[in-house]
Amino acid sequence: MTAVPPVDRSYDPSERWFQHAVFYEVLVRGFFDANNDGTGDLPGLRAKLDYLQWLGIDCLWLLPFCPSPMRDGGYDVSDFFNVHPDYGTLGDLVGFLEDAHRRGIRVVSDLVMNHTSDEHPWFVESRSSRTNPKADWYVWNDDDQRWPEARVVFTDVERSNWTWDDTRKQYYWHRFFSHQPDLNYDNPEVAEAMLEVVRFWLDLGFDGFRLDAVPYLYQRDGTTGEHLPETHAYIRRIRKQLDAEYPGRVLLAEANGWPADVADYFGTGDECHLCFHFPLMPRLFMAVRREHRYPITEILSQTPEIPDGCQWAIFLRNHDELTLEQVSDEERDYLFAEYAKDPRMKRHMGIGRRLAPLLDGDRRLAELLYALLLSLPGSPVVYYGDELLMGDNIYLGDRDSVRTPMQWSPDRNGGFSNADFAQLYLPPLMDPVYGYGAVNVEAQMRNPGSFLHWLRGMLVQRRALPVLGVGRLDALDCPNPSVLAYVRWGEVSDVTVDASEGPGLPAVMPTVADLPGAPDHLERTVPATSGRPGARTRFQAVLCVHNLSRFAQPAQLDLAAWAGRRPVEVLGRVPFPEIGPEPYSLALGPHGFLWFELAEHFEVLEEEGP
Amino acid sequence: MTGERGPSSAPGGDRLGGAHALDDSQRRALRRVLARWRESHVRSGAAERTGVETTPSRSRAVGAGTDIRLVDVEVLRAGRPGLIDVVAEMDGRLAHAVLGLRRPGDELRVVGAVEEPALGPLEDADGIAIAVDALHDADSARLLLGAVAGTRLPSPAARAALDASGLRGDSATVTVVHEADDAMTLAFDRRYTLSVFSWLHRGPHPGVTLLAGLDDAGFNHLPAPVAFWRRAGRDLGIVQELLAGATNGWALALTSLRDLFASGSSPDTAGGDFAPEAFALGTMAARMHIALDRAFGRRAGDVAVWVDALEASTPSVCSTSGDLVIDPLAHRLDMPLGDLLGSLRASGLHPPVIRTHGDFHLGRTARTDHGWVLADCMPGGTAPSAPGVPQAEPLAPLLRSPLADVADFTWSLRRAAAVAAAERVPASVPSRVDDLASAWEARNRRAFVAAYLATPGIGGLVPADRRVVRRLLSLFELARAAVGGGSFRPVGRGP
Repeated sequence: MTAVPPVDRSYDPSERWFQHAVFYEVLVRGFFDANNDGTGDLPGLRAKLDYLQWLGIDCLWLLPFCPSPMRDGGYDVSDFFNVHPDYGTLGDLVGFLEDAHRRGIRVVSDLVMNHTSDEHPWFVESRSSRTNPKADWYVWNDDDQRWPEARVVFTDVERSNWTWDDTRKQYYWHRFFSHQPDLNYDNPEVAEAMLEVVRFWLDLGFDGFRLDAVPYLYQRDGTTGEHLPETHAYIRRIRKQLDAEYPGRVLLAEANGWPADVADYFGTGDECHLCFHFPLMPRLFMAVRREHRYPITEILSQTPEIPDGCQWAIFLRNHDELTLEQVSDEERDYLFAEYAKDPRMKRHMGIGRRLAPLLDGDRRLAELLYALLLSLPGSPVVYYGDELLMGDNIYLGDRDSVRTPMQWSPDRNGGFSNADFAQLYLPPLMDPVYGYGAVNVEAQMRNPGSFLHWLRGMLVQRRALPVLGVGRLDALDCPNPSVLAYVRWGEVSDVTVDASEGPGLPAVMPTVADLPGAPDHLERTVPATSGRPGARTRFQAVLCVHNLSRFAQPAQLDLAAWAGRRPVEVLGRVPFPEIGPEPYSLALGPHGFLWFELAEHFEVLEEEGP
Repeated sequence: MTGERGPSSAPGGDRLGGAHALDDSQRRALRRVLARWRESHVRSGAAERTGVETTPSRSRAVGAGTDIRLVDVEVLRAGRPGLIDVVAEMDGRLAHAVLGLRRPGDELRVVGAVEEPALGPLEDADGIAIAVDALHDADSARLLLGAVAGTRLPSPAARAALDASGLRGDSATVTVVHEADDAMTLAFDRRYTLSVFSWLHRGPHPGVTLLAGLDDAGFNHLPAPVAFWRRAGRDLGIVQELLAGATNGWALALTSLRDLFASGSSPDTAGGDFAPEAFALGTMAARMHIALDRAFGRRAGDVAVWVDALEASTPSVCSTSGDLVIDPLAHRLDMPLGDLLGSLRASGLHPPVIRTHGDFHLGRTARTDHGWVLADCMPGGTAPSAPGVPQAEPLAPLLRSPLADVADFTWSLRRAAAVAAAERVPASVPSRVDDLASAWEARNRRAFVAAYLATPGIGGLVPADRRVVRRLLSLFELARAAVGGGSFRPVGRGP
């Protein structure tokens, strides 16, 4: 077991905590196996909370953990009100939630709303006849010709959205796998039943949901069956319930689309609190290969303003393939050519690889991408294992390539489990480059120069710069196309957190200042809700400059609007020359980046003479 | 203050006409100020190119400005701070100086790299003023933008946009975008640019007329013009939208090449592949020609005449018969040069000629978040002049085949590849870099030309037979090569 030094930390007590939070996506099955049966479980996750607290994440996002035949990683739920027996019990879950909250870590869960497993009792009953009480809980039809405009999502494995059921003698509708029938939200009983599911998990202590496949809830003639008004109305209904009964809990939409379309899921601030920004991710990878900023700036220019109190969720990699749905055919060909040179790396309409192998193990490039992730508008989501630069196994089926066990140590099974190797849900990586012998938590925690320590330090810095969560972004002109520079600026609120404070989060919330290397000004300073007693507002501006090229690059930045301010480098607190009216010159190393706080007043301490 | 010539039709300014209105002392003072203005251009390196004499007697005349003849003086804003616009003849050319009038002791907010924007004292009805180069004084520059914006706006929408921007107020941040001998471009709040020509044509500025024609014809790959500053038939400057986040095409091409050289792979597998950009540039070039055709019309050309012109301009190359090898173009010819010229001469083709860009290359383009734009319309379809030496006389635009612009561009792709290769490896050292550079050029050339020819509407401007197109491109590239390498580096913004 990896020993983690105890570290106390503060938390954000406001209802808008998600605007500043760093999320950590974790696969319960793959994180840590506490009972040595070969599968990760909730007691195992609970046992690793010290590590997650040390790492400095704010919120865990749990992939599905409900009972399931596991034909789609748990996204085929067979019981919405229980825990998969492999993962533990409801009691284990409650204990885990309490422990997480005690550490100031929130927890959101996947909510698979669109469909169930075909083994779910609701579907078993529904398919049994055309007249049973749940006959209309799913979408049935006599032929498979209805709604031809609706695309097939998994084109490589499914040929139609309709599948014949031999028992009921009708076709049922499914937007994903044929073993995942879609629920019929036009049936009020279904809509109410899912609200009951929502209440059940919130009452147990979850801090919100990631709404899986949310665009597909309804079907209408003559439409693609995506983003329909009825879907938005139902989300508003859930939101209203949250606001009324569970303040501070959040909804995160998984809607893979263009920003302008996805932004509809914010509503007017009355639908989801967060939406994933899918198109940004492939363009980050495209930009560093092309060595110029335009893939990123183009998508940013197409990203609309979002309502107050909302936030994008951004990520480098996740549990699915690196989806290439939101790129042009030419761009997809390009990304396949660059990042999936072996056909086995392709999954559906994307690439089934983790961050580190995608980057050919280039640490500097990984640091650059994380610097972008942590400074672009949105709340960053880190995928488990990517803090170590873990590898993948492209020979595993479907998306299991990126769902291998977390690598804790160089011990047996990577420290993930003491079960027999053959018992493991998936084999851990054992290759000499990315295997657990080379890449594991224990080794990286011992090495202050490891990627793990580097990322942890960056999360500390991000916490000190709340403007990165909520500030405006002003892109800066730079004649060098390899340089992407912007200023994040705006008013941020701070509050002094008392150890006993914390709505929904039990006490024991000491200060960030105890973190090794934390800047002095970070002490007891965290973002807070507006109007909160003790809150104070201040202006903050951060200049972020990134070199997308493998070569050193000059940057001449038009910073005239910030003339008179002094850039203070964030990591070392090194003051740079004051900004004047002329272009500001910087030099960046290969794939280098610089973050500066633009200080209005910065006193340079002179060394006293004899 | 008055001028020595009659008033023009320009609206907006407080213009007083008649040479008699300026008394002798005012004329002398103004000439001295203009002499200082000329000195600043001398210091910036324009002297050698503008032919200012340096003999002692001449120097005295130059210093006093007695060789300067005032042509046109307009008060753009009376009082203090004031603003006057002066056109004067010096060294056989028309100089254009915008002077700010500041109270003695006023603090100046200097813009750009200039040692001293103050040019000397001037006196008018409001008393003594210090004349400053308005383009190097932020307060004067803001006044100038307001004055220019009041001259002529392309559309009510543009006027509304400018009004809404509040740029006529005092708060805009002024920065230098580009400073050269012939023009200076300032940016205001990263939203608009104001380009002011330092040396004027004796008629419309060809770059401005080209830009206006393209804009009127609906070509939207441009930094949109917001206001044209014209007086007495001469273009004095222009206000355009600022291209936020733009990168020059030359810089982006070199970025791609450096990535290719580092990867060592073929251009189609290199991460920094430029082909999608070259394709987009080809489409933009075709749309530019379609718009130019719509704006200025066309005539029938004569291929035989073009061949004759090439042979006349490059006799040493073209007189050689048969299988002449012209490095580096020979590999692109599908027949010996003599045969190619002969076949073209004998073709009897009369493809359309139009007003072209005239010097279309990577450095004239810019990549923005919304795609490619034509960032520089010079030389506006006229023959390009030597760098830094604007034409004194108005030039009639040349009518050329649009394929001549295409050839200019593909030649610049070649130059970019050669320059990047030379940066990486000395030319004397044989290396794989040269092969990569050639492959890069070939790939992007194909992408550019393919996109150009595939653009809807271009068919009416180029021969239908692709073999003829290919040969004509070879002909024009040969002509371009004969003219010389050229830098094709960025030439700045503005029309």
